[in-house]
Amino acid sequence: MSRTLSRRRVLRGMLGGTAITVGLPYFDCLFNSHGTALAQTGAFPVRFGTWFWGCGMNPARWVPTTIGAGYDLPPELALGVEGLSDKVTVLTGFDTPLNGEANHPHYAPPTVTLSGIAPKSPTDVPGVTFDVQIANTIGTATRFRALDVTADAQGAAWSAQSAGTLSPAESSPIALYQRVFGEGFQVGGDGPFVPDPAVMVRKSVLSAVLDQSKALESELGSHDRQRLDEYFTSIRQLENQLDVLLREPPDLPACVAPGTVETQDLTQEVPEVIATHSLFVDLLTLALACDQTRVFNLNLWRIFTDVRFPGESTGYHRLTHDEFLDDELGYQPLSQRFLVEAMGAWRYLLSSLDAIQEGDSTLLDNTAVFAHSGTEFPKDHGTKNIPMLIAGSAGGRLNTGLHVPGAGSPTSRAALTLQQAYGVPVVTWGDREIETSSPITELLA
Amino acid sequence: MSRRSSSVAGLAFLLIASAACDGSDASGSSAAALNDYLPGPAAMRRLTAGQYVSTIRALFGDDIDVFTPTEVDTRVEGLLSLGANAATVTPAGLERYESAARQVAAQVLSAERRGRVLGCSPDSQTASDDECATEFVVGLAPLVLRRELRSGEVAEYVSLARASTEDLGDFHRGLESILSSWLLSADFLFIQERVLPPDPDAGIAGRKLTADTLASRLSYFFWNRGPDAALLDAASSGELDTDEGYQAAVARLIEDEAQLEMGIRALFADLYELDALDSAAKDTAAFPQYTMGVIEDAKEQTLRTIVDHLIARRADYRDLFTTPRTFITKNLGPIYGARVVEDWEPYEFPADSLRAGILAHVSFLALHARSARSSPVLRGEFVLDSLLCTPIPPPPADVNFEALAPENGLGDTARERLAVHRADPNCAVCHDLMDPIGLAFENFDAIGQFRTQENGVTIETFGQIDDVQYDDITGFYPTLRDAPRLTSCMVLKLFMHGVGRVPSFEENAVLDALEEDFASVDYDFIELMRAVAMTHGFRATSGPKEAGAGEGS
Repeated sequence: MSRTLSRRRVLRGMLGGTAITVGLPYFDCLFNSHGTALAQTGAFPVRFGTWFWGCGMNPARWVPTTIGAGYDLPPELALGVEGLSDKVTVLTGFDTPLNGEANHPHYAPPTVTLSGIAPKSPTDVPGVTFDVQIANTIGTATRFRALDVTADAQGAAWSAQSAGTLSPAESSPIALYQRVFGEGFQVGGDGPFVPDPAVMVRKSVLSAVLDQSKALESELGSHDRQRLDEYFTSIRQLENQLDVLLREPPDLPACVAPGTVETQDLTQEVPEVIATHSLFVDLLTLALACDQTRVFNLNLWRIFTDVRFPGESTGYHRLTHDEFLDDELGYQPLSQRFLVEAMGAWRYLLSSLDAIQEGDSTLLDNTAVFAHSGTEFPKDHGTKNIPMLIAGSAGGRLNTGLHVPGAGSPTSRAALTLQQAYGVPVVTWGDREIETSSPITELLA
Repeated sequence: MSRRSSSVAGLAFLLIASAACDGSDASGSSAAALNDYLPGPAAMRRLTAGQYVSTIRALFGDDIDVFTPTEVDTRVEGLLSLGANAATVTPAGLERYESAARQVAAQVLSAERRGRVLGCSPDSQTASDDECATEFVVGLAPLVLRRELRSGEVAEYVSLARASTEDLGDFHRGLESILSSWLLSADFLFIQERVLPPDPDAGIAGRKLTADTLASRLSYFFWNRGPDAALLDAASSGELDTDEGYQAAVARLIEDEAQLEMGIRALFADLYELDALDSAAKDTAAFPQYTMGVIEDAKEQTLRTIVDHLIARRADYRDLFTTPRTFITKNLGPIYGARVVEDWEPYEFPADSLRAGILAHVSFLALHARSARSSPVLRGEFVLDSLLCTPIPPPPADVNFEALAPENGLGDTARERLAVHRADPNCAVCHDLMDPIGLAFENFDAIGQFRTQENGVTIETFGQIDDVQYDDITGFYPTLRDAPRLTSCMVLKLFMHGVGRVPSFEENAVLDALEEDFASVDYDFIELMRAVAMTHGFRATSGPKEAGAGEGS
């Protein structure tokens, strides 16, 4: 990859259909000298992300023994945090109470963590997830309110728009590339800006759709009126998206169009899932740097993930159940290999965000990425001590580099804290046993 | 208990009612005669991904490429068609719908296709033509929106077309913009359920659905697409509001077997979760022969068998689980150990084989299995939950699976390993129901290939449903066929599929009556569909669903 690759050349490459795989070395050529000037205007937006990995961790090898700043790094935590621990806060000892509902193993804890409501079945989507609340607050001015992706070739993810409605997630990097950097992607500073009349027509179509569908409201019951309202919100979001296309794009220093993404095999084999994840990270990093979105949800692998090492027949989730715990080692050696990969993928995400300079800080500093899993020790399906990490300070809104024990309080406190940090007007979050009005005050700067 | 007593009550009512209406034809079925119960509430249903595609192709032609929007459809009570009554449209979903709408509109109004939907030509290709645009709107909008147009609506669309034409300098692109707006409207993306005001003189419990709502319900139920022009005409002329007109409409939908096939396919693909096969990955090292071609053909095999059995042969629904008849392809041949000359040739499982019925198909056996090995638990659970409507609660959270892994040396066969379920009373409560059903399938591996041994040990396949025991899977098939819950469960699922919701408490009586109707027509599935469409619950509602109301209320 050439270091002299100019932004203009990359763009031409894209338009000419030349295949250039997006990769980390790319970022070497993204740095330039404009950054500081923009930072002085305070123009860098704050972003938010979530990151999920299935099948948890091993608490004896994860939970730090010291509290607050400068926490120690047990081996599994070290895999994901070593060298970045001043930018990563570790939350331990937070639980997911279930309000008397059955524990739907692996599924109930993340659902509670994100929505504050215990699911009634393993497919129940009980309510809006807090990433959507944050996206509705900080994501309305960009082309995409949020980008949802999942790296293990399965279309489902966690983000829920409302009860019964999951957000669709991209599982193909090519599809994500086309959506963000294909039609409608504009970079500033490339000459006189001429709004596209076709975009104006698309806007008037949406406006007609709104007018026409309004007549329905009076014919519906309250259940459907609520759903129609969400449909209207989605239309308005798309109107915003088109508005962005009708404005001259800002000249963002770290923004560069990626080259075309090469075909990627979407399988359940670990090397390919990790490669897909890396491609997604590269694309999301650029999407954030180019201010195409301010919120992302990235799923490494699902709760019942069937990711496998090449040549092996048992997938990760199954293995965590089937494999004996090695008493001498204190962990399941075969299963452990997957956690090593997962934490490596997490580090890749953080390093990529941290490599984008935005004035005196980095893209990671202007973001908070909330990482969580579906359980503690996967074999036990515990609903206590759900592992959570928060990386980045959300542009100085959050303190970083702390270990905060939750002492059995609900994970909904993390959801409440993050919503408040991003200005979502909520004072309580969660249903009954999960309800909290106590943010994790140590985190709020 | 309450089901039993309501069944008796339903029967008593049926005797009186059928005496009163002289049972002229199939429309005089017993379930249709009941109208004194309050049906469940009405709620709009988001088109499933499959319905989105089939609706567009029915409108504009099978050659239209539809970039499938990927809103996530979720199953409720085992059916995507029920998850649809809570789903809304997400920002990411709308973005995809908008993109798909533009792509479809551009294809429909392309020079080679526009003749299908447009009978006029504009005076100039580059200028607006209100007259031609009006003709386009009047002819097409009601079909896309599945309703009559409101007053003033035509003028709004014509004015949008005019403005777009001026911006883009192209008459047909102006029409594309209004077609896009219809494809994005809530009337298109959701199957609307409109309710008429209460009418004390109607002599029914609850409120009637509007005629256009009935047209959509019928059309999606029988054809898995929006109403055609004839059905919309029947709605707007008031024909659907009369019993005779409604019966005639149902009869017409049933007579068109090519379209009826689409409805049957959609229902059974949903019920058997065939969509999930695409993502049920298998261990490629152990099963290199399990290719995408096999997966596609496995789904099609099951649907073809069902369509042939239920529509072409009008055979007993229960025999779906015992029939040796099916169709196979070159892809599937090796898995069934059959030599195939031509794709989709009729095939009969040999009389001495262990296969019969659709549960012996790769589609069922491979979907309800792990990536590298079979799963008696998953197979047993599907039979109980989806075919016998006996849901199994989730396993306890702290369950330990070490004993179930073959590599841990606790048993060579699944039967030996699953013995731990019997030993633990907490497990046995549910596994005593699931395991005996699933273990009978153990002669079929993770992709549905026949085998006699697991880890070098001969597999035993005796099992039981309820109190009926059998020696191997060939005893299971007829036992399932004759299980009373098999037909009552199908009645329940079909009713829910038709009305897009779970039954109200009071509707239990009509389900019992439907079951009797089903038996009285020798389990002719198409007649059961007709009977469901004729029920009061299909044609009426308690009213629009209110927020926070429970599923059945």
